[in-house]
Amino acid sequence: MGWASFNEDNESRYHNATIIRKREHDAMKPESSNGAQAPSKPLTKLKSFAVPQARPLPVIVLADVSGSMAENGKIDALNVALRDMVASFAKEGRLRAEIQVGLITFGGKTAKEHLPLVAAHSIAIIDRFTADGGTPMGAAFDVARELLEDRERIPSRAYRPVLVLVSDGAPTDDWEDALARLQSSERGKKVTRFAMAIGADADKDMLANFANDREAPVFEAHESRDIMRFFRAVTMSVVARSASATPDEPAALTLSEIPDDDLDIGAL
Amino acid sequence: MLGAAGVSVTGPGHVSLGQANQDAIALRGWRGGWIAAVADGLGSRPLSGLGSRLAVQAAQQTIRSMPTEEPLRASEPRQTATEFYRRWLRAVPYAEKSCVASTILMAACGRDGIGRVWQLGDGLVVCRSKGSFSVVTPERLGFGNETRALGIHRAWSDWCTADVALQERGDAVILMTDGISDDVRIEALEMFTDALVRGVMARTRRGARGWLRNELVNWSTPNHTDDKTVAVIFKG
Repeated sequence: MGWASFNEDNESRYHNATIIRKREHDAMKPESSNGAQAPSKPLTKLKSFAVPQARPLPVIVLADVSGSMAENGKIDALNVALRDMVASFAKEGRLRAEIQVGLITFGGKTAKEHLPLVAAHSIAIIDRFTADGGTPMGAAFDVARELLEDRERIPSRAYRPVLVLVSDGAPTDDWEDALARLQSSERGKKVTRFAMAIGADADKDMLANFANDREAPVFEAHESRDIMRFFRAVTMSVVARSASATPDEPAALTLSEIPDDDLDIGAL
Repeated sequence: MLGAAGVSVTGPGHVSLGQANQDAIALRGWRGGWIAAVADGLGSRPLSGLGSRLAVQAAQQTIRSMPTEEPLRASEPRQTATEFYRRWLRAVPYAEKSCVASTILMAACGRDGIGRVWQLGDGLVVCRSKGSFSVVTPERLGFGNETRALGIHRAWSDWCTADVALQERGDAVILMTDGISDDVRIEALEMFTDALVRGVMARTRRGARGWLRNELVNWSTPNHTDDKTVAVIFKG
């Protein structure tokens, strides 16, 4: 074998080896630091049969907008906290799951699905709520249960949803049966449930029945800023889950780690 | 003649953490046909990969231990599942078996294409038997990543099983872990199955493995994380 053919053989081997190594390690390439999308991956035949959306991680907020929330700036704090939470979910760019937000409000005589379950990044604006009327919490539980059991809106590939209840007073409707229906429903019993009691007159025992996260008992808000801190903690817990390699594993929800002057830098 | 191919790739979630693949696959020839087994170790824990590896090994050993003169379908599916489970429990070197919990999907087909599949836990088994497509796995009722598993569940009612007959060209049985099955559009399952079988049939076994690896590494669902494993036995 002459020098030229020997050299050509070496070069071709080296060339092929480089290509193979590149393919092998494609999956290990870090995403670009400026948040830009990585170059699109090559088309494959099976690609067209895959779901084009990331697995959803639904977060459903049950928000009390009854008349008592008008006192001490609580409804304003709730408005700001909700807006900040959705904005934080929307800007989080390193997620393993697509965070979806649904908002169920209860106040006056009924509960309604104020915001359908949609991807957080697609929510342009959240209406400001006004506080008025009674506290039909049982109706809100029924709306949440119907949403959870809807397999069209929450497919079985979704990660376990998070249900967040924020209320400042005793329910004015038949909430016991509604809570029992929620807790015994096929999917309702599987969701992660957080609860925040606002004000000294809140029915904390009932809220304790609602919450099922061993790491997170019922949180109590004595000032409007406590509502903000609670939602910040929920945000960090959800973001930590969605950014982890195992988004179905629950992440701790602890208010004590959130300083009063938190810089809103997301999960560390 | 029956052919087979399969591959297992580490998901981006484990790659980013420097963790090993926690799925496992074993695909071996048997009586002129094939035994295929795939398993998914649960929980992304240090020992998750061990449970799945032991599961696919136990699946191979269980089928091979059947008397050679006895047809596959002569035994009860429950009897085979029990024997398999006992082997897996004996192989796990820890008293607490749930620390290596794993799903299992296994299929065995003899030379004549007559075969049987067993499944415990999530993932998906689909087949085209005598030209007719069917999904063996029952519909899931809960959310993603909820599953039955070896080491946790012990009831026969937790299993699903089916008999298959790969007798027409293009007939196949496909086993896949949830890293794939959760991301395939349900309405496109039959087309997905046909595309996969056509792609595998058009290649050598080694070529099919490379093709499948490329397909799974370049999986198109955004932000997918799971390990992905697929095994197919087909009538060529």
